[in-house]
Amino acid sequence: MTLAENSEPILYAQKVSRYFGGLKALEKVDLFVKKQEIMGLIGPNGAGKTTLFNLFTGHYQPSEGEITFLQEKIGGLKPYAIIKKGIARTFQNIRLFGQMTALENVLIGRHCRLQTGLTGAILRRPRDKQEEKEAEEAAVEFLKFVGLDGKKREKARNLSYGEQRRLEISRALASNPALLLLDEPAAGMNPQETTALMKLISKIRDDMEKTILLIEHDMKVVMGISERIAVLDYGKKIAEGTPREIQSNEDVIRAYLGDTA
Amino acid sequence: MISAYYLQVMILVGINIIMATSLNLVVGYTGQLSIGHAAFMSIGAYTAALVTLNLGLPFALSLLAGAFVAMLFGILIGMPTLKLKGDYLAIATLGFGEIVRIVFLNLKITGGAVGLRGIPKETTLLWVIVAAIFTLFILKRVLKSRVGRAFIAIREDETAAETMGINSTYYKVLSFGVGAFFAGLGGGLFAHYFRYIHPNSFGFMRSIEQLCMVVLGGLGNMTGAIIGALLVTSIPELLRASAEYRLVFYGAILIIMMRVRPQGIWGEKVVAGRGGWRDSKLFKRWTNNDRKLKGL
Repeated sequence: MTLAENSEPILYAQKVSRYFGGLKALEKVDLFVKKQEIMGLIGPNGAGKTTLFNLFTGHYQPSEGEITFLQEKIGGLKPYAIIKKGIARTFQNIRLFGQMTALENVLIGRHCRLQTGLTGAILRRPRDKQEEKEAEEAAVEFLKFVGLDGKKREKARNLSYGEQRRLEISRALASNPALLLLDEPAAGMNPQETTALMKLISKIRDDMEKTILLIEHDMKVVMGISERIAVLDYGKKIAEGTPREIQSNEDVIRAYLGDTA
Repeated sequence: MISAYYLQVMILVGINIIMATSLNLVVGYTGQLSIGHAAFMSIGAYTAALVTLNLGLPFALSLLAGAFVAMLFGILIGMPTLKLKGDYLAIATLGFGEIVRIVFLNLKITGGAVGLRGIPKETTLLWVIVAAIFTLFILKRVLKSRVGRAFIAIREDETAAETMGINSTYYKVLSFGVGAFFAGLGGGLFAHYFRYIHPNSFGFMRSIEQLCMVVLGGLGNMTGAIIGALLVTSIPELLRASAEYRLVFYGAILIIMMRVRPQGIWGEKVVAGRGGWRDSKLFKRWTNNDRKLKGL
C-alpha cells in the first residue's frame, strides 16, 4: 500500500470513449492505475467495465481518447502486440485452451517471450531446445505459484472450476506482465475459494511486484483487497476513491440500489 | 515380388498419407476448414512434372520445386482467405480449388484439357515411403514446438490465443503454407507415378476424399490421419468386386461413422457434442489410464 501511494501511474486512460453504433458503451472515461497497486473496477451490469478492459488489451479500439501504458500510446495496437508491452488479462467467462494440458496453457502464456519459429521447430538447434527447456521450467514455476503443479499433465477442460480460474491467472502471469487485468476472478467461487483467491491476488502484487486492475462483483473481494476503486455506470465514471469513500458515496449507492434507496 | 496391382495401392496409400497428414495440420490442428487441398497437390504435380520435362532436373529436385511452389501459393491464398472463418473459409478454399483446376485446363504450358503426358516414371514405393516418413517427421517436430502450440491454441480459442500473444493471421498462413508444401510433395510423387496428369485428376472430389480421410481417422491426430488414408484408399479397392455398389457402401460407411463415432477412429477431438466413448468410464478402466489421450 505504501509503495502504491507514491508511485507513478503506469496506465493512463484519457477521455476514452467507445461507441457501438449509437450506443455509448464508454463516454470520456479518465482512469489511471499506479505502479504496484491493486485497483478495483466496479459498476452494475452493462456499465462498460469489460469494454474498458477490451480497450486496454486491444480487442477494441477507442472511438475517442488515448490510452498510455508506460509512457507509450497503445491505442490501435493488436492484442498480440499489447501483451508483449506488458498487459495480460483473464476473461470473465474462462477462456482456456480446453484440449491442451495445464502446462501447455501456461506455455502459450509464455509465447510472446520466446523466439523459436518454423526453422527452429524443424531443426531443433541447441538454442531452441534450451529455450523450450527453460520455458517449461518457468511454466512449472508459474503453475506452482497458483498451486497447480500437480495438475500439469491434466487437460484444462478436465480441471475443476476453481482450478481453471487459477490456471488462467497462471497463464497470464507467464507472459511476465507489468499490469494484470482480472475480469471477475471470483465469479462462481465458494467462500473458501474466494478467500484463497484474495490471498493469491495479494501475493501476486507483493511477491511478483505486479500491478493489478480487477473487475469484481463480490464486494467482499473488492473492498477487501483494493487500495483504490473506480465506479462505472452507464459508460461513465461516477466515482473514484478508497473503499471507504466508495462505500459512503451517494452516487454509487444510487447506481446500485436505485433512486428510492 | 508384389503384384503390380498391390504395389499401386500401396503407393496410393503412401501418397494419401502425405495428403491426409498435411491436411490434418490445417484442419485438425489449426482448426481451419480447407476443402481445396487437392489444388495444392495439383500445383505441386504440374510444377514437378514441368520441371522434369523441361529442365531435366533430378527427381528429388523436381519434387522439392513442386512442394515449394505449392507452399508459395498456399501462403498467397492463405493471406486473404484465412481472415474468414468456418463455412466462409471452406467456400473460399473450394473456390480456389476450382480456379486452379480451370487455369490448368486452359493454360498452354500445362497441356490444357489434354493434360501432361510422358512424365518419366520415377516414383517407386521406396520414394513414397521416404517422403511419407519425411512428412511425418517434420509435422511432428513442428507440432511439438512453440509453433505447433500456437496452431492448436488458435483451434481451441482464437480470441484467447491473440490475447496471449499469438498473431493468429501469421500462424494460420504458416500452417496453410506448410500444409500446401506437403500437398505439393504428394502431387509430385503422384505425377511421376501415373506419368500422366490432367486437371480433373485434382478436382473437388479429391479434396473431399482427403478431408474424409482426416475426419474418418480423427481430426487433430496424426495416427488417425494415417489410418484414415489407409482405409479411404483401400476400402474402395476391397469393394471393387461389387462394382457399381461400391460407392454406396463407401458412403454408408461414412454415414455410420459420423453417427456412431463422430470423433473419428483414432481421434480425441469430439466433433459433435461432448463425451465420445473415450470419455466413458469403461474406456478409462480398460485403458487403465489416459496416457493415450495425451500422446500426439
